[in-house]
Amino acid sequence: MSASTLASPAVSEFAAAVRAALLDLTPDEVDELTDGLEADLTDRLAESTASELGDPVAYAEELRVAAGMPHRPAAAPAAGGALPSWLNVVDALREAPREIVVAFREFGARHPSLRRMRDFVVTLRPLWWLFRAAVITALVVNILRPGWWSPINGLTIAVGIAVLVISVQFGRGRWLPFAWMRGLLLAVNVILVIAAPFVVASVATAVNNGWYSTTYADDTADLSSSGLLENGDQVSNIFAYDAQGRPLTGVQLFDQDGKPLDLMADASVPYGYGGDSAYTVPSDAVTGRPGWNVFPLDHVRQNAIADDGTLKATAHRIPAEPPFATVKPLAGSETAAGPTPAPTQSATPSATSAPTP
Amino acid sequence: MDTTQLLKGVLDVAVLAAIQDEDGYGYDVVRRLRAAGLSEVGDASVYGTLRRLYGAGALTSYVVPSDDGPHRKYYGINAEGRAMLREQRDSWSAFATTMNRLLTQKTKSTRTGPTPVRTIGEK
Repeated sequence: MSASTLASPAVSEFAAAVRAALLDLTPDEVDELTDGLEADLTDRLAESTASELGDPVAYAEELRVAAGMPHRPAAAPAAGGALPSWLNVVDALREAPREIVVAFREFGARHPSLRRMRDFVVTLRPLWWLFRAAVITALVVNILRPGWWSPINGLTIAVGIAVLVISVQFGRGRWLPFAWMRGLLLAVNVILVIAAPFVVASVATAVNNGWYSTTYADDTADLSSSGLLENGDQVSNIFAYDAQGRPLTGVQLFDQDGKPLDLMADASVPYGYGGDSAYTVPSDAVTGRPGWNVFPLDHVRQNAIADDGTLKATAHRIPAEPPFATVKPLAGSETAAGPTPAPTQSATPSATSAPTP
Repeated sequence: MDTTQLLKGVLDVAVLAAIQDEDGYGYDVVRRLRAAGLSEVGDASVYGTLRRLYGAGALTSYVVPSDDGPHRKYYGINAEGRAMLREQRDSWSAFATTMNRLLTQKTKSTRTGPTPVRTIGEK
């Protein structure tokens, strides 16, 4: 939140120089010390007779001392010459991150737009804490209970809340009594940043799979035992009537590809649910395969099913009761209606040709 | 005597007193202190003191945007600040009384001469 946009160039420059002189403090401390500085400097320039603002470094020092902020010399070169050369290298390595940070801040202090960008990114920090917590929760839950984790189970919620609280507290610089914990946190953050794309991808996949498996979990059971659906509802039997409106038996149905239009997707299923505690069974008049495409399917009663779920050999077949004894003849076929029931026989030549035990 | 050295010790109570009746932003407080006679008070010292008092929980703070210039950071005193002000005012009074007495007695003793040690010892 830089106010330098509305300040005069002299004020902005002076304020930037003051901030640059405070670079050994944390960005938050610098903000805390210099927020509103431009307004105060502008007032002072407007009021005082002298057009000079003075020495920004001395000003920064006065500000720092009055605020009781510590003076931390940034990246002191400290006794370099006296040390063996390899120690210099170690020192340089240790100081390098700090120097990079200081150089970066110095650069930022001179470029207000960068400061604004940084401020914006800093405000997004809580999002990172949240994301970090989510990723760690996913990992922890997977370790505690390998396999699919759901965002809505007790374990995930409990672990998630605990991890979130820790993540936020760490993010706020709390609960880190030892210096090594900060180092560890930094390492974890770096690993998470690198791992983030992979974790997001795998979680997205898992969520997708999970969604499908939970959504269709109940349906799949039905799908395995049913082949014919009408508007999503299972068809338990089919009753065909001829042109004269008389019920047909032994009707063999095939689809456009010549495939038997089996009631059951899995033809080896011994029986299907027929409603009213009745079960449909395939015709045994088809050679080589269960006659699930021969309608109407016969029924058996509950007691025809053995304890192990198979159909008893003694199962007593009952013709399924058609919904209508007869239906209205088709237009133009009324006169052809004969009094004999013979046409049902001629309609099922292939079924009757098979041997019936 | 260098007043800036004296100011250092009393800047806290001076700043608290300057905003006890009305909130003020940084330069505002500087102006009030100078109007009260503390002409040598430094801007940055006052700002730093305001920040520190705020950090110590004695002040509230809010930013007021401005149409024609940079935003201003206002400071106001809170209950803790008032307690701090009361306490520091008392210790200042006691200190000032002691100093006044010491300084006036010293001039008196140099003038009258006798028993300076005993007079100081009594106090």
